[in-house]
Amino acid sequence: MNTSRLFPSRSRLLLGVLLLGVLLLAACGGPTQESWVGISTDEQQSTLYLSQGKRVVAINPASGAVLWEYEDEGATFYAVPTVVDGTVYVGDYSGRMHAIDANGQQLWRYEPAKQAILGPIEVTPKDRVIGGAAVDSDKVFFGLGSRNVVAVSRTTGQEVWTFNTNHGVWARPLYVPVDPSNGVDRAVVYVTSLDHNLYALDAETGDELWRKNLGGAAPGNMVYDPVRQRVYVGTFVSELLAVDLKSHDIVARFKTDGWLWGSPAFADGVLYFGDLSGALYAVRATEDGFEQVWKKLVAEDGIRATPILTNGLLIVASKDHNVYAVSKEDGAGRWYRDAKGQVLADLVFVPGEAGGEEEAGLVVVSTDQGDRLVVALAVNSGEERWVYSD
Amino acid sequence: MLDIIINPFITILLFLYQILGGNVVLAIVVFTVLVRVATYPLTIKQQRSTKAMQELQPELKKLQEKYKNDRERLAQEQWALYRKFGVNPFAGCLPLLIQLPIMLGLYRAIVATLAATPTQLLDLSGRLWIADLSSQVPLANKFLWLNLAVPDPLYILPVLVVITTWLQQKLLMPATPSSGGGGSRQGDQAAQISRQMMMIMPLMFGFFSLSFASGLSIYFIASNLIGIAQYGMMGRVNVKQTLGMKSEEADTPETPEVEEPAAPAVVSAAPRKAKRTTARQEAPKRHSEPKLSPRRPRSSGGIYDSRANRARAKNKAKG
Repeated sequence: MNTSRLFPSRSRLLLGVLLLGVLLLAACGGPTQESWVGISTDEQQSTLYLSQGKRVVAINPASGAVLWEYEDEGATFYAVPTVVDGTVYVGDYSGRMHAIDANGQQLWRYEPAKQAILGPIEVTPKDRVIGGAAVDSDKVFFGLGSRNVVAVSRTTGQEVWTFNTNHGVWARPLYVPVDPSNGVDRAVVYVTSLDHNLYALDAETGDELWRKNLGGAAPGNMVYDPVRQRVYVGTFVSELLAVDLKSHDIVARFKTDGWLWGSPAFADGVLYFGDLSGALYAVRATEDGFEQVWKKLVAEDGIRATPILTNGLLIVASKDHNVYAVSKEDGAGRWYRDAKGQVLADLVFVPGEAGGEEEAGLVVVSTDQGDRLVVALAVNSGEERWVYSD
Repeated sequence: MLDIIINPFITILLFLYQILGGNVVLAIVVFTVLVRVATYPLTIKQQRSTKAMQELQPELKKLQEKYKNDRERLAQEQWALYRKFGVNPFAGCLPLLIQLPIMLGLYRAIVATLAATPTQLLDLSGRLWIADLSSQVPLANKFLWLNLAVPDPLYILPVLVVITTWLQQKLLMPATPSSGGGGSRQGDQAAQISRQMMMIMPLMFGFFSLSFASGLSIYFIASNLIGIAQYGMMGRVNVKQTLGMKSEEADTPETPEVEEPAAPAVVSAAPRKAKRTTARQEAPKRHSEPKLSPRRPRSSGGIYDSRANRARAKNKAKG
């Protein structure tokens, strides 16, 4: 074999090997996408909102038709859009918050302020908005991917306050308004962080009221129980926790097989949730703690998405590409459907018209496949109704 | 397939992070040291192979001159030479290829544990060999002015990455003999490629640092510095060459160290640039037949040396 032709010099051979290494470094850099689609509906559940890549899209949930698209130069969207009074609030991967009106036009855009990072040197921090936003009458609250919580004016987008956390805030903040009937005398924003803490912040000033170490990162949204004045939150130490908002204590723990990311669906005092091992749980929250109702290993891969409850069914989706519908009573399987892509974003329920063909409504899932970015399935059968492609 | 490497690496990195009091930079540095130490035998093997190839360069050049119009014959003669001295020209690449997945595993472990994006954090699930380490996820991302999950906004780390990568390459560049004015075109091309590599590699890693999490830049810098220290401890760093100074050995032809060239960098065994070449030309005899001389002391063992020694002894016996 004439190796001198194949490898004219040792340096070239080594150059080739190194270039191969660089290519591998690029190719083996782990997940190619930064996140998954952010999907939600408005309060009336009449419009779907999708944030994916360069666009935020409004979709008719009955037909899958696009109503409008919003783009902003240089913006990348994955955060879940929050819709209040027809205005869409959605963060981007440059740490900015956008307010978009019902016609897809920008109302304002919040730009992160420069920060002093080394003596007098100030730079605009590079950060991402990963989670959704919480909205009160005059402010929008959201977390940043690396650290901090920001409150901006709902009408102008001007920063009102910033609270420093020690790591990212990937969950949607929980805004609890004043409610004398439940003993809430001050509006509070609750925030969970990857720094393991649950923070209670004064909604007006951003001042810390108290914090509780949860023992692990908490990237998922909290569920608020107004009757017991508790929040339920899952952590990466595989625990579902109940935190009493009055005593600031963890009053109940429930151990799971895998990490918890998706927030629970909550109905009639029972929490339904999946973990990243693929198990599904129904757990009753009582005064004395948690009580397991049932547990099923339903998926072959992790369940990241928050499930939905409708029509006596618990519908969940997994990284294993499948959407599963089980009985909420005992977890018995009803149907499952291959979504033909990883389903990581929260599921969305769209009610059907009374007496209409889809009376039971649709469950809308999003996948990591561009040609099946959003898939609408009939709640009762899992039959595919429409598909939205990138 | 890389999971075999990535998962234990992630576990070790988190364990170090835990026992080092949550100091993420210290954990990355200690982790890099451990990996460097573990791959040390491979580094040595690669060096020896490269060195053995260097030693044959004068003979190879002669062959290239002799058979410059007959590539087929040249290849045959080159292989015969390799066989004669028990050298495998590709042996130096094997350790490099083995180290490559280790480097990739290290890179992936750091990126995954810093968890800058949701998919990276999700990817971490199920990878820990010690479940208790879940409480350490994700690594803290704050260090001095840096957010380790995003690129350095002040560009200090990318600059340091470029400098340390260049320095490591420059320090480890072999002091190969010149072509003595009669160097082959092939050799000149190799030297040119080598020079280009010395520019491209630091810039490429600098570009990575501008684009990726600054935690990764910490790893690049730590790895470069540890690499330099490692070669320095082996006494194979040529500081004077790096500083562009005329080396003492060039002025003192009898200095035996000249016959022990500095350890080659991973990237090249090519001749150095013209300035150094001129200095070397002052002592042409040492380079014309340095490696095959029976007088030459053999300081290092290993498969290449022992084979070469046996071949030399055999040749000597034949007269």
